Amino acid sequence: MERFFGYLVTGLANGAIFALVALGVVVIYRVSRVINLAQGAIGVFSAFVFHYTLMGDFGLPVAVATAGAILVGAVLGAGVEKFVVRPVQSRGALATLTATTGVLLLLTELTVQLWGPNNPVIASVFPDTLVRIGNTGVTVHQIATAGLVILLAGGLYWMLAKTWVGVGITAIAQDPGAARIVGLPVRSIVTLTWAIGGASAALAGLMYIHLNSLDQISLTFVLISSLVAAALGGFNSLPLAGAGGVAVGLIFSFGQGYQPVAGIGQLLVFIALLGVLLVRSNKPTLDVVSEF
Amino acid sequence: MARGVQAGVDSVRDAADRGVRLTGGPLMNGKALEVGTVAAIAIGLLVWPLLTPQVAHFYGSLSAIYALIGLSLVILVGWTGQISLGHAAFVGVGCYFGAKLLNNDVPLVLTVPLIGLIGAAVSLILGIPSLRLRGVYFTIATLAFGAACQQYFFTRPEVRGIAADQVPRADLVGIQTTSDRGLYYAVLVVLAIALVLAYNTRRTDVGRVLFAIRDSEQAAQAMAIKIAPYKIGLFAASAALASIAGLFYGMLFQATPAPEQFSVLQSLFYLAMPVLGGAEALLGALVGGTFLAVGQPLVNMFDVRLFLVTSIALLLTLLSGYDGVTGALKAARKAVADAVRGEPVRYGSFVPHEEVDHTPPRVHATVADSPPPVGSVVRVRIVPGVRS
Repeated sequence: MERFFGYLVTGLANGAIFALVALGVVVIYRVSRVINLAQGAIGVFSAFVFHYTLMGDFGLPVAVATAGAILVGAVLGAGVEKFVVRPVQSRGALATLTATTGVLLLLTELTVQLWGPNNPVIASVFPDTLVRIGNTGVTVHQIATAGLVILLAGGLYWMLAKTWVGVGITAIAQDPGAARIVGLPVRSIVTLTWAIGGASAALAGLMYIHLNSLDQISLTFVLISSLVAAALGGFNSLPLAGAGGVAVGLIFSFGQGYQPVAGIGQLLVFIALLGVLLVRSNKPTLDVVSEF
Repeated sequence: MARGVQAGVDSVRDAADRGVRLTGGPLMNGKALEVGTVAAIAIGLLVWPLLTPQVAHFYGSLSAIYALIGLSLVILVGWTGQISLGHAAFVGVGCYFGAKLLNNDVPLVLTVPLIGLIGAAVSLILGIPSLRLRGVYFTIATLAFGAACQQYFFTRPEVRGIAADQVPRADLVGIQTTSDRGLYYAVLVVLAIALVLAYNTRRTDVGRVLFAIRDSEQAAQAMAIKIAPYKIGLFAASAALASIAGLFYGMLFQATPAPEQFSVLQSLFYLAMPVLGGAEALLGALVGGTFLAVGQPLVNMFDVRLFLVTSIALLLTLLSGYDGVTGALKAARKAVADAVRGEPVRYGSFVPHEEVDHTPPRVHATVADSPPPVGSVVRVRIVPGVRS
């Protein structure tokens, strides 16, 4: 039972991060019909900027550096949209997907080129003290991560449902042509969405490197997990994507915990994905725009 | 659509009534140029290892192996419009299982088709669930597959064998592969066979169906084409080619490399080949493969990572708007040909299709003195409502 709670907490904390990345993927997909494969890489790059440049070189306080890293993520997201995705968008879904693949490879390699292949040991923003819940020790950081993600997901949801920008995003998602005619600044909103996606990815990256060591393998795993989560919601539904992220985190945590074989988590996630795809793809409504 | 086709047929009939004869393009015959190019490339590929020092042969072999992987991706991306982000896993399958077969004294000439079959069989794990998958769902499935292979299957000692397992360099029907030059020729033979097979498949009904599916799945479905067998079949063929490349990859290094050599990032790196070389032309695989293989010694001179350079090249190629190097060459050739010949004559909605080279020769209308003889066959391809 003790182990169970331990794995549960780890799974929830990691799953929250996957959910955050997945939310960014879904928001971007809704307005521009592009799967941003570079989402995880943006998060990692921002996290490294946070650690080496903002904290290391500039010696900024943690709060300021965190804000700076999120800004870096937002700028990266917007930049990818403006300078990579938009120019190739007219050439079809294949080209945009490949372009985001290129950005993924570029950012990952840039990270290694700039800061070396060694994984940084990063001090957590939140204290690492243990809190006893029943018999299990949970770090404050894990609780804070989960709480922050719930807060952020809620904020994102509120923004999309209630604010002017959110209504604009929904309008563009449903009919870009009509949105343009009504006078919405479609291009700016699309870029803004990518910036939001980038920012959420940066935040996820920051929290991930505090929880786990970061290398290229775990990066691809963040990417895969969040994409699987987003696919669960048909790239359209924010709640489903969030739930998917948490589910992937739990599958991975329990699999690795109870069956400590190398790569068992990846295998289980792959099998789960195949199952989900088989069930979901029976429905012909994958591309139909649903409400949030 | 029907109206466009009818208009096209009418305008051709019109043209025939007015004594217009439809013939192949008279200047810069595309076929001759193509045959010449291919012959020149083939001779070049055969001759260069005889003129270069031994150190170049390793990268020659690597280029040929990469070209085989590139070809497997060209037929997948260029023919079905699907992206695989897990192809390195198939290379790994070929490498590890190839090592097993060769170590059990299976002759290489049998190992190659066997590995192809194994790779195709493994691909069905992905291919059959993706029966109903489209585009990005398939891509994500390949991604998860690649990660599962790298992290789980390839770390199993039963699959990978003990670390740094020796891979023997067996003969391929008389071609000694103990030297890198010999191995290069062996891979070249396999590559040539694969290229010829692919080239011919493109021109059969199967090829036409594949292109129809790529251009519009719905349209193909409406024409009562069962899409799934074609997609799965082509994915299996692609996986088979990548696995065969993996077999030679292991032979080149004479060892079973660590699973990181078959990671997801490696798959992304391989994906650069059809983009850089061009996914429309089969020769794009050769260009892309050479780029990646020769890139390593080049970037070693400047302390940069090859993947970094590759990703920048990939993005620049996409932004350039050309279909890789072969696409740019084709555009240049077309510009020269158009400058020499002038614009082709157009009648109504009847427009010669210019980008596609897997069709009968370009059709041009020329005015003849007399109507075409009765019973003569005029082959035309009508593209409904594309331009003018």
